Amino acid sequence: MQRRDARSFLEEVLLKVPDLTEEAREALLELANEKPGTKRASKLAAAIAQNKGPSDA
Amino acid sequence: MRERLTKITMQAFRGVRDVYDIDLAQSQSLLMYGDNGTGKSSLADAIEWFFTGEIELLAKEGRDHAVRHLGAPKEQATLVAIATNGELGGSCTLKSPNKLAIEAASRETFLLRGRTIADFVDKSKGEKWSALQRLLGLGSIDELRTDLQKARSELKRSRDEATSKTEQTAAALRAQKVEPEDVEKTLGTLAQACGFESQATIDDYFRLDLKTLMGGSTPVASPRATNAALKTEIDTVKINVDVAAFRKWNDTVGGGAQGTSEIDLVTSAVRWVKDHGDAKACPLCDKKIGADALRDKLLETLSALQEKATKLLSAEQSAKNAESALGSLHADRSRWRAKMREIGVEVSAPPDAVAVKSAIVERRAVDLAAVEACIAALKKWDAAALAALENQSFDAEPPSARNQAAVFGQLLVAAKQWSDASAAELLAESAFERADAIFEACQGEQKKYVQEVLEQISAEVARLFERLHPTKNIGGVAVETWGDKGIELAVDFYGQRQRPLHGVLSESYMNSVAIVLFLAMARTFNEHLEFLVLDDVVNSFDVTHRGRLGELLIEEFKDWQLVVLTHDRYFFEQIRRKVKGWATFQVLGWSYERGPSLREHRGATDVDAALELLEAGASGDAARRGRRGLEHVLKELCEGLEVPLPYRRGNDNEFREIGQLLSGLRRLLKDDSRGKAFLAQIDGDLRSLEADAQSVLNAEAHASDQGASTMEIRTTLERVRAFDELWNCAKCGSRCWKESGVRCRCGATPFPPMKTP
Repeated sequence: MQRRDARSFLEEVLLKVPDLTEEAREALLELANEKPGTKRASKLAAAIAQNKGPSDA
Repeated sequence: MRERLTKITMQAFRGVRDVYDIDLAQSQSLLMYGDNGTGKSSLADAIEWFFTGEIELLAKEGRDHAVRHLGAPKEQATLVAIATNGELGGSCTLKSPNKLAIEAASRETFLLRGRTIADFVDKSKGEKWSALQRLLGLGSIDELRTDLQKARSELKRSRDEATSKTEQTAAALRAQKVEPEDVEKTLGTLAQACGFESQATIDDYFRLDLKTLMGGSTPVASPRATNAALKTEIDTVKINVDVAAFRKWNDTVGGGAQGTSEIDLVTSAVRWVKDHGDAKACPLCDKKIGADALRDKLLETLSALQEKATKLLSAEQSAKNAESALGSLHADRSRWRAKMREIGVEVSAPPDAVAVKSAIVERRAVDLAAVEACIAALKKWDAAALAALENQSFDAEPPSARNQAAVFGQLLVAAKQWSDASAAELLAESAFERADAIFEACQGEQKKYVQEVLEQISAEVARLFERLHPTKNIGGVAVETWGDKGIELAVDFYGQRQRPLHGVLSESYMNSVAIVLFLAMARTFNEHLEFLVLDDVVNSFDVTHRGRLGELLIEEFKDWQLVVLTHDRYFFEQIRRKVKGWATFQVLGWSYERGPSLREHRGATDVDAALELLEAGASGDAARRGRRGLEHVLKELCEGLEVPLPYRRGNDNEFREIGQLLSGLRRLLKDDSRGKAFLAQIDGDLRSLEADAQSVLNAEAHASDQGASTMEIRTTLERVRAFDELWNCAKCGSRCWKESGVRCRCGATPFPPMKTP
């Protein structure tokens, strides 16, 4: 098996979440390599909240 | 190709103020011994910072600044440069991490710290899980899970707030006797009564020019509608004053907190002293004092004042916020009273305000009893106002166009607020559900991934664990799925499979599990890094297990570059005497200006080092070093053979004299017939060593005379070496009390190691 880093791990996770726009997916993956902590958590929350997809249209 | 370190340079980093290098030109392993606080871990920090972009200990908020040495000159950037025997070398600074190295190391396991092991052994279940992830080098994935969990909580809070807002706005509609689901229908009916067409949605009404449609009249609220709106508002706006903030303020001003004027005064005094290097008296009180002492004293005072001032400012801000909330309560009630008058409802004036603002401005305590009494009075006033509104009776209002327009206008505003709140709630709910789905998927994937990883290293973990603990009763450490709890580490314990390990294993066994998990992970998966950093990992090991770990590292990881940092002298000596070609350092101390000061150990043993000193003409130092070598050998014998020595309180056990150690050893050997026979063989050597310790190796005792001759010291050092080697197996080189205390590791030499005649 292959070792994974945070980004490749998150890629795998997001495949299991269909209700997500490509834009939000990219924003979340960008955050995977950022410094962990409260600031990153808020950015993750914002990226998830701003998901503009068919379900929110 | 996997890479090794060839040079580590630190500049203005952690315990290093200027520049500090460790050269490993042959990419050899490194062994470093030093007491706590001497800067050993700065080296581990540098490697961690370079290859991960952070130092885990300093990753928590408010600790970032500690990456840089506090006293580093401004022009000196904080920097770590690492050279390797491949392509990953380079440098990193606070603003430019080395992305290539971080990317390469993001899937590798290379650093183990004692505190991670301690977390794995001691902490609560959740923290143990995180520690396990760090041991395995999967910390970044676990941190991602933690942050996704925080994001989910944040979005849940937003969702709950949005729901509460919707409920409030729905209550405002109901106060106008309209259920939210009927609001559009009711607006339609009222629109027609006002003489214009009903619209499909609430927002459609806002697109109309309502004033013109209603014949230019501005809708005025009816007494009934105003009554309903007031009741809703009084009922909804809660009295919420942070009395604790006033309490904290009182504690702070009561504790002699300082304002800025005194700070300004002392700051000016510090500036004055800087400009008057020859000052002989304090500019504030005129007391006689030297400039240096005065400056130190003033800086100390300034620091204390600033700390107090910070506390004061924080308490002041909280108290002002609470005072503002209290003020708003009074303003609301005055406004409500005026509106009630307009519709013919009379209530008493709201209770008087408490003089809180002036107390804060004048920096004195707030009257807490008065504040609490005021809050109680406000609550009582609210109840009276609600009762008065409830009791108001209305004459039947004629259905005039003006009244209809007033009711329509009021309902439309409430409907719009409810409609917006409902839409925001839907979005917030959707965001929370998405965050929940991502977090759940992350958690599930992490468990699956960790399980796969641990299954892959399980056989290696079990094998390495059995090298550290070769007993028949404990073994088979592996990861297993355990019901709905997910995965757990399991162990064979006296014939039974036990999960989790913490229930049956001692602290040192748990320590071993942590270490072998780390080692097995690195060996199984590392593709880019061929070095392992072990920072103080043997804290809970006894002497036998420290020795076994040393052997395991040397033998099993001989193809790796090891960076072993320890404050354990015995562990250091154990490794040092068995390895060749390693860079071996002792950290002698640390200073703020110079950082760690190192001494390289050139010889493999103390005797080798003493002989080098003797060659260099430093016979006194050679004697001291030889004496220390003899002490180390005797301590190792006594610890390894578990020689019963009288207990001493505290650290005194570490400072036993050679005579005491020899007596203990003699007592042990006298216990059985083989021991007695062996003692008879070596007793002459023991007596000579005892005498040497008091004379030839006792440099201080004859400091005033000429001391021992070079020849005498050399002979004694050779005697110490022979005594040291006497206990080793000629075949495998290990001590003869290995494996349950009766034989060396290969089994060829039993204890005691009788001399063949």
